[in-house]
Amino acid sequence: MTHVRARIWLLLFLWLSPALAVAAPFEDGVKDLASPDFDQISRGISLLGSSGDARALPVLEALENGKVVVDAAGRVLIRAGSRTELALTGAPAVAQGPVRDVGINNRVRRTLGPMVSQLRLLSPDRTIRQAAALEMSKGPREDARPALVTAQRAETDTEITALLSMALARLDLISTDESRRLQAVGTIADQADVSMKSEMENLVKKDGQGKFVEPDAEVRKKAQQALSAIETKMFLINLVANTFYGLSLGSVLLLAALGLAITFGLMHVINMAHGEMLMLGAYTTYVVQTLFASIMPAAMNWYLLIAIPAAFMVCAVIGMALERFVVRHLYGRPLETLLATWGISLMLIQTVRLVFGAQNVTVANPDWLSGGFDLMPNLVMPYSRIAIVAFTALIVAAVALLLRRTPFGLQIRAVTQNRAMAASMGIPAQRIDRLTFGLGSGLAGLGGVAISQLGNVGPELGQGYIVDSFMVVVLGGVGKLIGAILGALGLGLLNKYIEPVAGAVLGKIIILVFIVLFLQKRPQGLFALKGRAAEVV
Amino acid sequence: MSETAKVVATAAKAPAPRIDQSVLDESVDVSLGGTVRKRGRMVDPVRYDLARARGTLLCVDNVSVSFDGFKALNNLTLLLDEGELRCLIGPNGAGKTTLQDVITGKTRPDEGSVFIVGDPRELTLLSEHEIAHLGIGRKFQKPTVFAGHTVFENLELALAGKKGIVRSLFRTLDSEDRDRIDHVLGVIGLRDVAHNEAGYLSHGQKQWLEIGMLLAQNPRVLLVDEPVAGMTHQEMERTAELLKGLAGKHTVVVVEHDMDFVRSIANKVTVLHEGSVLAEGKMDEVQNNQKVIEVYLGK
Amino acid sequence: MSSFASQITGLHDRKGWAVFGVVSALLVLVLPFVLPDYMVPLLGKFLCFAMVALAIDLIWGFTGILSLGHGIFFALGGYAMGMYLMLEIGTAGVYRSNLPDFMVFLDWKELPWFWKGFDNFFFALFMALFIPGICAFVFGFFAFRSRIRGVYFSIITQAMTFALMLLFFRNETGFGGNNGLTDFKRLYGYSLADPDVKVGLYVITAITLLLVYALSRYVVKSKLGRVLRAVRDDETKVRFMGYDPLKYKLFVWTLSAVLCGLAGALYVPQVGIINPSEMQPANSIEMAIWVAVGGRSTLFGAAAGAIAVNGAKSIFTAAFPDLWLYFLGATFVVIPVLLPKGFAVYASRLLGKPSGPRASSTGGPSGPAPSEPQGPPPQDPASAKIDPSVSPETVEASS
Repeated sequence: MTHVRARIWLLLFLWLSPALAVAAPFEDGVKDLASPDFDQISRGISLLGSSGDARALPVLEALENGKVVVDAAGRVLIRAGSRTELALTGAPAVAQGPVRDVGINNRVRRTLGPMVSQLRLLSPDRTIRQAAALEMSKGPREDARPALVTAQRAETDTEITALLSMALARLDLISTDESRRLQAVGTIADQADVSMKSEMENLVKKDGQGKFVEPDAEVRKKAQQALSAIETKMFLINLVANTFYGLSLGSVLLLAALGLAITFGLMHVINMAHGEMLMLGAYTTYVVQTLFASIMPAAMNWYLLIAIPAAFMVCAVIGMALERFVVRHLYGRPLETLLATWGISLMLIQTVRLVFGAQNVTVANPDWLSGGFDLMPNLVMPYSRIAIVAFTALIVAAVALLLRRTPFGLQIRAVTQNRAMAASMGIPAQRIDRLTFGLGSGLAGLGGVAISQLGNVGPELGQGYIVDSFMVVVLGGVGKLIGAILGALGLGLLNKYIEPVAGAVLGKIIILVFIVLFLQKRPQGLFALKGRAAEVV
Repeated sequence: MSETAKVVATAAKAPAPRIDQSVLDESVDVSLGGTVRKRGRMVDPVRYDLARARGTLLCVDNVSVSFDGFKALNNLTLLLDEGELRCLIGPNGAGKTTLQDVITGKTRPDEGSVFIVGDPRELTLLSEHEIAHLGIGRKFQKPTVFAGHTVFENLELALAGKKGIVRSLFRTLDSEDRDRIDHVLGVIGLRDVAHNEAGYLSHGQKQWLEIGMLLAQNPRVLLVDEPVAGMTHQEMERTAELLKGLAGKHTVVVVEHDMDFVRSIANKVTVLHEGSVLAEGKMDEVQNNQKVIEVYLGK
Repeated sequence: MSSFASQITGLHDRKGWAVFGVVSALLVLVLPFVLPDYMVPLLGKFLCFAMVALAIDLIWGFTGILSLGHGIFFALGGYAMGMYLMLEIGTAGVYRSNLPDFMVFLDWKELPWFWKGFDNFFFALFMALFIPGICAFVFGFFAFRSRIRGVYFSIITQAMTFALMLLFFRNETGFGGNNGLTDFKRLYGYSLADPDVKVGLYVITAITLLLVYALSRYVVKSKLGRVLRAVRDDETKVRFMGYDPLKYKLFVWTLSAVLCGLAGALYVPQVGIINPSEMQPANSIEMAIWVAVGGRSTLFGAAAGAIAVNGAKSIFTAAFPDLWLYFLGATFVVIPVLLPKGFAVYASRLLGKPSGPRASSTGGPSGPAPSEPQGPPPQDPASAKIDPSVSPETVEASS
């Protein structure tokens, strides 16, 4: 319905142009292009434009890109890569004899440009219209104005209409007519187009002599409004973006800290090699990916399905070995455990360095995790990050179930609260320690899988995480899952909110100072076990 | 800071103090707050004077503490007289340990006030070491002596006096200090092992050393938690002697489960139950109290 | 006065003084003149590390606080001295400017305010002690006040270290960024390239180390030392005895930082460079292992451990660079598990010190000063295992 109307407008518009409607306008138009005469070429362009034929747009676009040639037989051909095809039918054809470009001078170009814009802006295909309008809204050509006006009147889709008015506003902004400028600025204010920020800033600026660049006070006032609307919008976009990235960072931190929180709550020792479990999880992912690539490349998209359990198992086994051969012998000496596990981490790093090299390796995202989701203009949410948030939620739910609903979880909680009592009730505390250490390390391995999807994987990957994860535990308090969750998300968000303001380094320092001050108020963290259980820490 | 604010707020809405309702009825509108010295707020002067007039040394007034909704102490009031030997009994969870924690400053109560006659500051706002300086000593249930220090050094550390860094760094023991330590060594019978590391003492010896450390600290109030747990019968008798010898010069509070032991030393017993005082009086009276029999002795 | 003098002489028994004398003579009078020239600054560097080890032993061995941030104090002292050395270069730098080269490179026109005064050697030396001290004091105050301890404290110091390192890596911070401070020419007018000046620096370092050792020994032998060990073993109990652990911890923590700063200030002119990599968290953790290898709460062992580990590092990283991290890592694991008291146990056995219950004669009426403290005391495992309030640091697994 709407496009019928659009066509009518188009025809009306074309009626005013010198072109005449003919029986087969597309074919005639193409023929005209073969002419050496610029006027005839212009006529051909107009014919094509008014033909209403869907084949016209590709030909005109090719012409605009200088891809249309004429061969010795006078056939009009379009170059598509190394091949050529007939403009008339689109069938592949080999040029006969020498070819020459279709001649374009400025006059031809003046006809061609608006025509292409029109065809695009009035295309029945919504995607083409939208793309054209979007391009126009970013930087319209002056000669596209009539087409824009026409299209704006014809368009019913609100999104595209908005783009079109923005394109017109951009044109009107440099108009000498105050009312036009005012209207343009009004449109910009309404739409709060973030990309117009510097233009709006220019409008309210003074030049070197202290005179306003924009003479009209009304326009300046409106520009000021537009500016504040833009700033509000930018603030919101940043807020959403920072929140998203904060949640995503928080999820990674949570994956890293979850295992640490559980083992720390249980045994009051800190495993400095915990970060290396992340690193090993990431390298396990890398190995699985490499194996898939060489053995069954067809299933590459699904390598994560194997990598996830593999990373868990590898890290869990290493964690249990660590507990059995090192940590257990240092029972009750948390500071020495810290040092010993640090030694382990050095050896793990060096081993990985010798096996895989000191250089970073790349873990590719499977196809379904590449790309992102456009939430709003200027804000893309990468699928990998969304997936990590979901993955973390899943893991946390699983861990919560494990702790709440299984006998193993009950035993962990019992030993966490009162080791001596639990032991005297026949709970094998040592076995629980070992399994829990395995669980914690395995969870870190899962964290490693997640981290491998975000960036490069190197031997020192885990080093940065141990401090941050422990900060999560410090902030959240020991012995409660909810503490770790809120601690991680809180730190993630805080990080991303502070970073743009203070910079990464100062941000880190500010957060640390904040944590130390926070501990002045709540030495036990957000969620503390109170009463007798609290005395252990 | 918020701690102070909280206490002030609590004080504002706190019910009338319950030291002795018959004499205190007119003190209800005595204004609190205002007088601040250092960090410690003063206790209500009227209550303070009354307590002193009664011969009270330590006053725990209407104290409540809760952990995660569980009321460990519930409006508990306890008055200890100068020089008395009091036994605190009560089933597990009655609040015996929490009460000691509140008195020694380890736990801050949600409501209520604690003070010791001789210093009108509010104890619940002081830190542990300040309270210790005021003359309240505590002996933990498990013997906590410094295992790596010798018996002598343990007593030296406990010795009453200023405990600042500068003194510790430059001052050595004078003959008076030495005599005091020697005296305590005699009282607790550890003179022969004075220069052995405390870690090598027997369980009973450690308990005595800890009591000796309290003596050296020369506190006005001594809180003793389960002093005879795990002791042989002989050691128990000796401990009873020791504690009885202390009473008179010091106010001694003994928390104990062993009824025979309590009977052998106590003349006044306070029974705690669910965070409040259930009964108070001579051992015989308490033993025959119907409520006490129900919740405690009857089991 | 006389009691003070007797306290000084009482720092060691006769055998101990003899060993101390021999070691002093060796370090100050013999080694600098028999070692080849290139070895002198290397040994001087090790002696600076030994000073750091003493500082860490005070805070970790005797007080039970494991700092993973002493590298910061060391580096701060180093930077303070480096700033002096930088300004002492004068116009002899690449750009022939009064400003340090890196400032010219950054196009700065004048000295930032925090560089003012560092052209004075004594001011710089004072700052080398004051800056680490004040940083430690402020951080320690807040940390100890909220009773952050054990691994909490350790990790927070590590986090702080990491953050400060990042800060120093930035050019805008004003300490030469990545490259740090280097290309020093002269110290108090003497050319640093002169071998005699190198020996002089070494001798000053050695004497300072001996003085720091004596000071540390005095501290741990005083009643304050006994309070510190008591804090380590059971802070709660100490508090109930009327001591304020905050003040004690803060004192020894700050002292320890100041000593580290001193070591850093002596280190920089001998190695000729200070940069942010000195602040890497890994460096600070390595410092702890020096002390553990030698033996905690032995002072002498800690210092010896620093020299031994760094000697091994020099040899290993040259001969088997790939294996060094394995060796270091294994040390971190093996020492706590198999040799929790470090190698000092063997040394004190050689000197015939008793390790069992002390005979009642050793204390004597002349003073309650304990004989050589030998690491955390043995405890009966039963009470140790069940008592959560005892600092677990004291608990030795009887393996």
